[in-house]
Amino acid sequence: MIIHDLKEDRQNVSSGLPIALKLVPFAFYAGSILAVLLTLFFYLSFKSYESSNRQLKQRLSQAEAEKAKHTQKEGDIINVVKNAEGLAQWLEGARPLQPVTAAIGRSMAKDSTISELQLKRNPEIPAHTFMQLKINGGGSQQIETTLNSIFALNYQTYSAQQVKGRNLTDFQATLIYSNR
Amino acid sequence: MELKDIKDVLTFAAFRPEPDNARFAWPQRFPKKKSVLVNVSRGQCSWAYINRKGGVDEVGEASGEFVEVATDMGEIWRSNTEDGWIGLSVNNRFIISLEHNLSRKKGWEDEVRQNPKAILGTKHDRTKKYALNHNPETSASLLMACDDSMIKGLEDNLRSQNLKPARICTGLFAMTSVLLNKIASDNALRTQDLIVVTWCNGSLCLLRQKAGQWQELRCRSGLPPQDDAAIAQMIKPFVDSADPATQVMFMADETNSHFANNYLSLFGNLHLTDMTETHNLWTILAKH
Repeated sequence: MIIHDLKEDRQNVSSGLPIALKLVPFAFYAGSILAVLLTLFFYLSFKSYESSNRQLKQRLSQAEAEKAKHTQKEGDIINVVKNAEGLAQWLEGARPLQPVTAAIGRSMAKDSTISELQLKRNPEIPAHTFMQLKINGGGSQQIETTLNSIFALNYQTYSAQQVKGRNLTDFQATLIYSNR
Repeated sequence: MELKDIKDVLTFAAFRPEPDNARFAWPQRFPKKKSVLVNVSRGQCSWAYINRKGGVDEVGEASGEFVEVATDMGEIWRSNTEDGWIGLSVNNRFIISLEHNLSRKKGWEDEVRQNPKAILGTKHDRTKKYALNHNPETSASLLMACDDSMIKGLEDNLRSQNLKPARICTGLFAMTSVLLNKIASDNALRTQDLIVVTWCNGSLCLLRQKAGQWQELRCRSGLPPQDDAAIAQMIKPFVDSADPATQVMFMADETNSHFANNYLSLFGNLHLTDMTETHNLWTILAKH
């Protein structure tokens, strides 16, 4: 029951909007809540991304520092290897000279003597050995015999020079070992 | 579209009827809102503050004409309302009569307010405002007529106090309608011989119902407090013509009312049922 009303009616008094239109504010509030939730979600996601990005950058810088350390170590090792290789090559080139001196000595004939024998190894190229041999007596025959003995030890001679004196033969050459 | 319109849609206020829409009951006009109800009697005003739950928070009364009381109380009333809307009950210068065969075509509620001549025909008086309550079983109707000039005067007085009339009704007619509706919805009572008595602070309405038919009605509004003779004179014909099986259904604006204390004894040995509840008038006005 609705109680009677005696007052003068106002023009265009509203009875309220249709119920169906309540969807509008409901949609607005639902949209607002959704927007807040999405904002929160994206904010948290962004924060999470920032955090993981920071961690990744930190890990990247650590990895780069480690890489630099390893690169430096690698460089050191390469240097050591290079030195070792140089040393190995030097050692490989620096063949023992004692057989050469022994072969030269044994190659001497009865009438020949070694006046002076000098063997100088080139420190830069250890395979090259400068030989200066001074022989008393024997002449070219003796030089040839001696060289054959040296050749028998797989040495070759380069830049050979021979100076003949009255009874002294001065022979100079660079001996190079050839591994045939 | 103004910002207020958007706000009203978002707060769902736009889906509720405006506070002065006569087609809606009071709780629909003021859902979860405070309101003030004022009963304007002859030389006296009473009021009640209705809380957001629709219950009566506080009541008060003051002697004097409405214009004087409103001047004193306007500020307080306004502070107890939402946006200054107020409900008035007129308890003076109205008369309730019993009519028959009035038009009940669809929309008669709006018609009686806007174009009462269409319903009342020759009984219509341009200087009156009308309200109707039909008997659902018979062709009888209660017709309340109130001075239009008084209604306009009350509206002007409210406006001068920055108050707005949400509803202006007649408390006694509202109480009588509620009581008659209760009787009509009760299978035992609606065919009973009854004397229906309603009292609202100096206004009295007596209705005889015999075998479900409304037969006789007497009403006086704005009775002077000491006018015992007038009240007794109104009651006497109803009691004299009542048979012993007749029941008296009584409702007043308040428990322990002046009428209940002084005049119920005039009904003699007739079975009397007092339907009055605490803050009865205010509860009815705030509920319907």
